[in-house]
Amino acid sequence: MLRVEGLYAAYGELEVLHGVSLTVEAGQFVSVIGPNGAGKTTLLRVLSGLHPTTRGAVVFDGEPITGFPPDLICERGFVHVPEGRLLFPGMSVREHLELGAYNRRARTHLREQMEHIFALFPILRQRHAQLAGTLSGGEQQMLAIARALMAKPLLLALDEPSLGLAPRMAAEIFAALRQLNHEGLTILLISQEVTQALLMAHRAYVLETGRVILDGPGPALLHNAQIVASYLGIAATS
Amino acid sequence: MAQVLQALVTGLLTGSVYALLGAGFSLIWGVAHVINIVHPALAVGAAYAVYLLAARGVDPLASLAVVVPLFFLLGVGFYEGVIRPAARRGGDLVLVSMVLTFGLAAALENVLAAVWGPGPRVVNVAYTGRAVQLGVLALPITHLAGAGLATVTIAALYLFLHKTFPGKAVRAVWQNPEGAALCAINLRQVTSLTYGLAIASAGVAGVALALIYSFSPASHLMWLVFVFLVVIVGGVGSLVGVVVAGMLVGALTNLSTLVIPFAWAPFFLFASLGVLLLLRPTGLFRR
Ligand SMILES: Nc1ncnc2c1ncn2[C@@H]1O[C@H](COP(=O)(O)OP(=O)(O)OP(=O)(O)O)[C@@H](O)[C@H]1O
Ligand SMILES: [Mg+2]
Repeated sequence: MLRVEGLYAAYGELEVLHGVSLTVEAGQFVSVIGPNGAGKTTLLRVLSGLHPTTRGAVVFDGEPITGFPPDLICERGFVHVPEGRLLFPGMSVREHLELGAYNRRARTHLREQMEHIFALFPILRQRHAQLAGTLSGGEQQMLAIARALMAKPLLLALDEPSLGLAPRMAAEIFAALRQLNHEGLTILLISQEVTQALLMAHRAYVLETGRVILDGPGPALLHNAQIVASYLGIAATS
Repeated sequence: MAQVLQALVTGLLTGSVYALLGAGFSLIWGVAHVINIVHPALAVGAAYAVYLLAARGVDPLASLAVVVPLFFLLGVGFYEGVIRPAARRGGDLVLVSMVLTFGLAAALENVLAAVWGPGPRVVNVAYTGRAVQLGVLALPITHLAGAGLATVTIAALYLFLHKTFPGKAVRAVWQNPEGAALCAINLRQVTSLTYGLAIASAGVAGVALALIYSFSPASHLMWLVFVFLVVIVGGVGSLVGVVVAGMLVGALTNLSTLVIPFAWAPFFLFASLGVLLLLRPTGLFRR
């Protein structure tokens, strides 16, 4: 479904991705973990066309999408739930869902897709007329995911969807992601919640200072001494 | 009392033209991040087009059929041909575009002055000077026509922005361009469309202005002052804010002329603006 080969990216002179390669098969749940500043957000922004790549190739759904603008990449079915959510504060929940389905492929299924999403996140049905800026953090994250789902993704890529949420809310988000994956949606998840992210992952990648330093089946990585030492040790105490 | 009421109502009528100019101006600011100094100058240009057509017997309202499509294309062309290339070259677009559009406004003013001379012009139509009597109020038909035009256009803009897919895309880009791009919205298309609509609305404002006021090549400067006032009071974040601010500025300007000479009205307005900004530094409608 997604093949990333030797991807490089920089901010001005500062190179932050130094040849990242990874693969996501159709139907898989893939997690990317790594410390702060590793380049996880940059990686997703490059994949979805928000940030330029300096070198490397991205093949999605059998076709190269390297250097494509974000609207085309979304239309192809690679849909990004960004860090910070990037909602439209003065627009209602319903309007977000409509805009999520802006691409031609999704627009024809707008009604049924909206029903599907209200079933997944019932709170959004209650809040459908409310402005995004007035929602709680957890509701905003649900809305960001819902907006992305409206685009009829082939692959849903999420950047730290549980960041700053109460544990109960975070658990609800993870449960929704697991359900979506069971329904057949391919998922690429970036998360600081290492245990959760690894447990759910068919495959996981550890990114450190712009390089993949480790990869393998999620649960297997969870038992890797290196991971336990560098992340779980810290995560457990913090 | 009747005098105050008269001043208030005509102020609100002319305020709708300020509101329309302010609406287009803030659309361009919100979506394209350009301070479109040339905005009122284009409206004055449209007023001259109305003048030209009226001399050939075309009613100002009929001239809309020419002005609106022409100004829409002008807006799209201006974005694609001038603003977008400037933005792609990098640098501070706000500053670059301000200098650029200021230069264009000056150039347009000079062209108008070269063709028609620097003096003021009035568009004369069959109903000029006639008024509708409403109790103690006498409402000039030209004012009513101009205000009606502005109101209908503002309502159409509002419906477009809130009820149609492309309109919602415009608001999305306004509120969060990256979020909009991630919704498969093509920023270039939306910005181009916004520019076209905003300049077309400046054209309509010019037609309304030609109905209500006399105008000269330099009068865009006075209008620019009003536009700035309107967007500062109304904030650039919402159409509703801009519209209320336009009415407010129109009403206040007119009311102030009851107590001070007309030439002093801008001074009075800026004094009230100063007080307002001291009390509410972010404008009246900032979320
Ligand atoms: N806009 C920017 N300008 C310059 N440097 C940046 C910018 N954004 C990120 N960086 C740098 O790029 C590197 C990677 O940042 P990135 O945000 O991709 O990391 P991350 O893995 O998502 O971190 P976090 O876990 O904190 O979200 C960091 O060193 C960061 O300082
Ligand atoms: Mg990040």
